[in-house]
Amino acid sequence: MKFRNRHSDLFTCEECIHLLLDYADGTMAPEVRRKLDEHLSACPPCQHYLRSYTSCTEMARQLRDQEAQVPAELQDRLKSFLREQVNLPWPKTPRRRRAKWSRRS
Amino acid sequence: MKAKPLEQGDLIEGLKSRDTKVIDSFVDQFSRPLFGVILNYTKNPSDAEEILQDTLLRVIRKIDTFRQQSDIWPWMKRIAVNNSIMWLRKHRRYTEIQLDDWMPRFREDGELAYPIFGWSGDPEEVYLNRELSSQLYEAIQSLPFQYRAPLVLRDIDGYPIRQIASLLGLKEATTKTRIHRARLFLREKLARYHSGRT
Ligand SMILES: [Zn+2]
Repeated sequence: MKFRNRHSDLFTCEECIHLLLDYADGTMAPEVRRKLDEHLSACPPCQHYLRSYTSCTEMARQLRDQEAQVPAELQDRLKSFLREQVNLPWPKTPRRRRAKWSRRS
Repeated sequence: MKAKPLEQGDLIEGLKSRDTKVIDSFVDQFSRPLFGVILNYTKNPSDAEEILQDTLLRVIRKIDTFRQQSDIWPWMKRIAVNNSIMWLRKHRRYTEIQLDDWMPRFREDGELAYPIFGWSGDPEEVYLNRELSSQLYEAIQSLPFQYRAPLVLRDIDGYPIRQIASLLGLKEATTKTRIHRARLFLREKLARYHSGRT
């Protein structure tokens, strides 16, 4: 039996779709990307799949920082809650472990 | 009538001195954008309202720690995001959903096993896009928390994988797998919706 040289093999659809996150997010090693592009150029179903995959992430991005309706009655409740609470002492709960990411940006 | 939005400096000073007028305009000015952030993490109204209330209180209580030179919105938003995650972790609701039913299927040789439904994504199709966008929101909300949280953090709020992993206490590889599976689920949901096969 001949030894399979994986690097010269084309990716299958399954391998491609498994790797789509790194491909779509641009975090893929160039040589892997080249192999994936090679498969894509010859495989319309995968092209179609990739297009709708990235379209989902683009649509999701549009949900960022969208304002939502806050009913007047809720705003009033929030205001009276805050007036009541802000001058009370900060509850002495055990200190939460600080999330590492809060140090950034 | 609502008062004019406050300048950032006046807002900060007012919140520091617990000025009730400033607290009122703070609610007028920021409850809607903060609610928008929170509703991406949960569409459950009572959860979302609790999180909003707690976020507003935390902003006021932590205002002394805010560094004045920067824009206050990202700082406030991070409190809302952190709060949403903490709250939802604690009050996790069991979601009955089998992601496997929505994953792509392959033949034995690794080729995609059925015709791929998709959509054009043509920006001209405003109506379709609006329709798909609300379908997308519903689909995101139908994801179980362990998939929804990383997906929203990544694809809506744009946080890097490393930060998401640290916030959720997951390995980076696990975080990526969950985001990927969530995206495959959403893609399939929208594709089936679009092709009328729901
Ligand atoms: Zn393919």
